[in-house]
Amino acid sequence: MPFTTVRSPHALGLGRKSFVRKNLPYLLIAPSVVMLLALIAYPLLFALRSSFYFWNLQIGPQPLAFVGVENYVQAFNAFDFRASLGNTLILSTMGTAIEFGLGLTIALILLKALPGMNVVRALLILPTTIAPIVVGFLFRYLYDPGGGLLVWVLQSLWLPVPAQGILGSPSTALAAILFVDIWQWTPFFAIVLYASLLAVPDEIIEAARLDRASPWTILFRIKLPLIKRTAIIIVMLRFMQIFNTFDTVLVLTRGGPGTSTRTLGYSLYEQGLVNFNIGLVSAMTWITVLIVNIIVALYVFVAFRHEEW
Amino acid sequence: MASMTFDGVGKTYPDGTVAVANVSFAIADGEFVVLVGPSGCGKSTLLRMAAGLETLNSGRLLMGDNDVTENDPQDRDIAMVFQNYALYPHMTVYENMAFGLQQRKMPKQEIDKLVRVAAEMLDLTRHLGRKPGALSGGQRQRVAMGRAIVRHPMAFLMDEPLSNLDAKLRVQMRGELKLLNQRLGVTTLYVTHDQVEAMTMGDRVAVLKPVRNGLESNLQQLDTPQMLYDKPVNLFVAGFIGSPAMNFVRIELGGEAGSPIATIVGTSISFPVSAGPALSRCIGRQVIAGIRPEMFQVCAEHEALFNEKIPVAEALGADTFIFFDITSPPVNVNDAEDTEDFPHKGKNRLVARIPPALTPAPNQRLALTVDKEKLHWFDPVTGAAIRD
Repeated sequence: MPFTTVRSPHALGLGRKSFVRKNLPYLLIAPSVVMLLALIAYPLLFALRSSFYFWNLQIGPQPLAFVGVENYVQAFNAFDFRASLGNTLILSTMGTAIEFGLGLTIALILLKALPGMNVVRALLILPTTIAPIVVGFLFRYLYDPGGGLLVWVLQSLWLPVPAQGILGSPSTALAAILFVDIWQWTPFFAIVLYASLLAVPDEIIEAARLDRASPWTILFRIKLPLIKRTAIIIVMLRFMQIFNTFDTVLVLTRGGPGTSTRTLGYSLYEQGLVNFNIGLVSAMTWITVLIVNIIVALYVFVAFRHEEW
Repeated sequence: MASMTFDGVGKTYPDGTVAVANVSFAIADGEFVVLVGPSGCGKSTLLRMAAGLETLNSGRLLMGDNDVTENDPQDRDIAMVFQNYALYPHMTVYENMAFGLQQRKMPKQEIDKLVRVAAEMLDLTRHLGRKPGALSGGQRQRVAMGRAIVRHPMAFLMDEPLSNLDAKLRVQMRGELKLLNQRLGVTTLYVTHDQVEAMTMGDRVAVLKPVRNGLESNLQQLDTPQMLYDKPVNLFVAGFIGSPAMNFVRIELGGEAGSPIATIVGTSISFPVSAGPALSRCIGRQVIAGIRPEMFQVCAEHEALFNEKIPVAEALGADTFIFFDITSPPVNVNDAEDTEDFPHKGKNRLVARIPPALTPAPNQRLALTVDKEKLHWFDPVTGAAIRD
């Protein structure tokens, strides 16, 4: 752990050999360490311990028995776990990819300095500022089979709308959840990518044009590599965020129909805060944490392999 | 390789600002032409027009015999060196130099050969695998040059390529660039605000001036460095070329046609001048005399034109520059035009170059005379040189 040596204690007005002086570096980092321990390590470790016990709050306030890895076995074999994991992976990979693609396109259009772009930039940020739960309710009305705007639009375009409604059909419900996330978070990619593209010096683009590079070559060999670091980080952030999708699912479908829109986040909620099966939900939490961390670690390893930071 | 012709080129921005107007000149094949002028004179705009990065509002641009006015930068076959180099920071030196060739779908072996030859020429071979961030300013500059020369373009455009280097390196690179140009024989258009760079590097130098409207022209004079110095066409060029700048004094020209007498306005200093027909026509009017700092000579007191206290002396080693004031209205080079209403009061600070041994003590007087044959004469209304 890096720490700083304080060479001039007198400048700080501290007595020689005082406790403060000897331990200053540790004292200075102590608050953040305490915060990290209290807010992250303690809950995680508490959950780890709980995951080895049979503990259901509907039965009693205390853990009832040590069950070893039984909760993990149960979690993997639960009716909804594989579906949740699959749905979550589909949502997070598709969502991140589509939002990145659309966001980049919008960012490149914003750079064109067309008339009215200032207004567009201001409007663009709006969806991101709305709480996901509110967005969920908003889309519940838009998807409403009896007069929802989106349903009407789809029907007007002669596109098939399931009889059970968009959210009622297993074939469209997950896509509907994905669409909500894309609607809300594409602007985030657009704004961040736009800002980082602005930081690419004009001369470099001009030099590339004089080197006879086509617009595509300039995008893929000059612009994108130059904003790579920003892109890597926001993709990672968004992936982790979508992986924890819960609120839109709760409001729109409650995981249904069947398990077709269940996400890990929703399963955790249901096991923990509906069924109060603390032991099982702790095990599921740990499985989720491990999966996310493995994916992110692999991603970081691959993405940053050639980077000098 | 090709010649380049600017034909009545102009650029007005949407807000009405005229950046460039009525600029016409031709650069011969293989020639090194420097555009020089103060900020806002349109020199960079002209260069960017040649590159195709800036559109023209009027006029044409020819390369060889082809009209390239409407061509995109991609289609012009020119290479540009930017002031801040504009290297691709995520690519190695090798990739930076190879990028332009790759866009031409050249075979890999050929690219490799060209890049290595250029790297050898610029002493970059050891750095081919490094990224620009790991290079010094001078090395980055050479990579930027390398990126331009590997392509063997029709013309080089250089936008103040040396201005980010420290003084010593700049002098060194100046020489190297000039040598490179002579070796490659590529038509080069070079922009700088540094007149020393302009004078030392250019086969010919174009002096540019900011324009106020679309009727004037930015281009004041395009000539060899020596001609610019010896025969400036107007006050602006005379004042811009030369360091320290030429001194200007207001003169009341009297006497008779054969033997005019010049009197410095506001003083009793007067001296006979040998005037040709052009200057003789100005007798009875005010004119402006231009005196280069080296035209002053220290002399005996009875021969002196000037005998002023010298408040400031700058010793440079080989020369000393001395500054002194005369009670004559100053000449403003930029506002000299369009007015007959000249001031008659004020102080005019002059600078003279003298041998260091003759440097006076602070605030002592020094007797100076001027080589009157070499004086430059200008019309105070138009600013144009009065010359036969």
